[in-house]
Amino acid sequence: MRGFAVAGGRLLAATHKGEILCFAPQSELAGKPFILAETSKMGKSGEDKVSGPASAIADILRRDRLTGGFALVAEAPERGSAVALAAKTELSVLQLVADAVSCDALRANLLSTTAYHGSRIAVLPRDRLGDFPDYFANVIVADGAMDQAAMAGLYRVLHPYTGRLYIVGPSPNLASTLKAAGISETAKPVANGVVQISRGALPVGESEARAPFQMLWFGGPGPNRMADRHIINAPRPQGANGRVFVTGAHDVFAFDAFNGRELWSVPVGKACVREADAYAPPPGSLTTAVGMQAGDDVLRLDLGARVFVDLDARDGRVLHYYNLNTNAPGHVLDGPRTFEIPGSAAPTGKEATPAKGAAGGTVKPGPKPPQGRVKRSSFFVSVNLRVEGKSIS
Amino acid sequence: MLLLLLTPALPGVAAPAGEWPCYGADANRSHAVTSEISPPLGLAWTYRPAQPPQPAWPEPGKELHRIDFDYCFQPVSDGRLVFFGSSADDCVRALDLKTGEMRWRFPTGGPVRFAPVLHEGRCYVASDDGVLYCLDAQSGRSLPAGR
Repeated sequence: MRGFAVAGGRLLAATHKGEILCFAPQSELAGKPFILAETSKMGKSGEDKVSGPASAIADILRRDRLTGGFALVAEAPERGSAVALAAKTELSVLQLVADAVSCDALRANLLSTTAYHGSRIAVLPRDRLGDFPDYFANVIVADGAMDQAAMAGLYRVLHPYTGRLYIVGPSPNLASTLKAAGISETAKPVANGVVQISRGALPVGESEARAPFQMLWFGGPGPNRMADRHIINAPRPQGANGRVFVTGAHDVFAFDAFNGRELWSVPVGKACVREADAYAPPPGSLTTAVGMQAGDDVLRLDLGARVFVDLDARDGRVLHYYNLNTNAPGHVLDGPRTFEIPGSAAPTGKEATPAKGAAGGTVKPGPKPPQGRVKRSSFFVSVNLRVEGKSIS
Repeated sequence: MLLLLLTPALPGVAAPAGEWPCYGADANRSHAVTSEISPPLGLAWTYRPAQPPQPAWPEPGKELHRIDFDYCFQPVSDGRLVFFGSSADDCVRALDLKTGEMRWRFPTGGPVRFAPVLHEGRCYVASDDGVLYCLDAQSGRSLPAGR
């Protein structure tokens, strides 16, 4: 029980499940307790009920792994885009309608036919769009009949780097409308009656910090997950490609730089705790994160103990490890020698190899490697980490 | 002076007999009322939502230094109806205190995280859509609201 009230001689109790229970004196009770259960209607709006352009858009987003974040729907609700996105993705959907009367009608309809109102779909009148910050919407679905002013208003809130604008329905003057709205990206047909505009990086003038500043978003990771502020050597938050990376006490987090949504987190043991200063992790174990380098596609962590890991910046998936310890599997060195790891923007999974033409000591079999989470190890005296293409190091 | 002007617009220091008009029963959040209940009590009715509360912040214990106002649907009552808002489907509901039957449901544009406040036949509700709603407590009809 998390809340209570007393009124009319009765006791009301509220639980963490959202139940309200009413207790009355025995003398006022008659028969079994009445139960008012509001059943979930989620099944009525399942994927099998969704079709047409809205369903095609949701399928494209699923294919491209863009199913999280915020969606803005600025076309007629009868077309079902909001419900389709709610049913087939994890997007939080904001449906704009003409006025307050339309708001009330659509909210009532969603409540009676789906279980999406509130937790998945919010309905607001169109004139509230100005309350929303620039770049917050990961996906926008717009009506092809919109004029340039309306289109420019939507483009203002479209997320850079990965934002998608879908225009549905006839739009005979689309090219001129987009141009007048200041939209320079190419409109590409992706389904019957649907064109897609993918927003890329912000132009130089817009990507620079411009005062005056005001708060854009706030939220996680929160004090319990965040690193101790007294650790002066903790890796600083870094941003790249529309993402912000933060090292917490036991995890590394990625946030959407424009709307604050937590994209992913990866547990890294004692990632950034004060005891780490005096803590000597066993070679190869992932217990500390003493350094971090953010790239467009890769986040590289220095886990201490001469272990590095590359994470996919999109989802935190481990791409590969670099273990620079001398007791790695298979071999030990009896003298100086130079090795190279042929890294690349794509994971190679290759182990270090002796550099061509490099002189040095001989290599001979060594002890078996320690059992641990490190999947790949190599042995080095000196190592060059090279990443070609989009360099992060 | 400001306090004197505002006081008449707020529930009194003590809740009216038989009522629980705001969170904690009164403006002091005393969680105390003068009306009596006669034990032993038995379960009269239960309301079960389609969706559980969706708190703005993690559960207490998992997170520190956050206020815990929305871990349940906080109920208030005028002695005839029970009112509560939902952080899951953004609605305010009024149930009959005696029977548990729903009298009305009013959707807002965002999660309702705070308990409603009842005053002189009106139900005031703050929603995360930035709107303070004023509803007729008996019918759920919306009266002029403010942002």
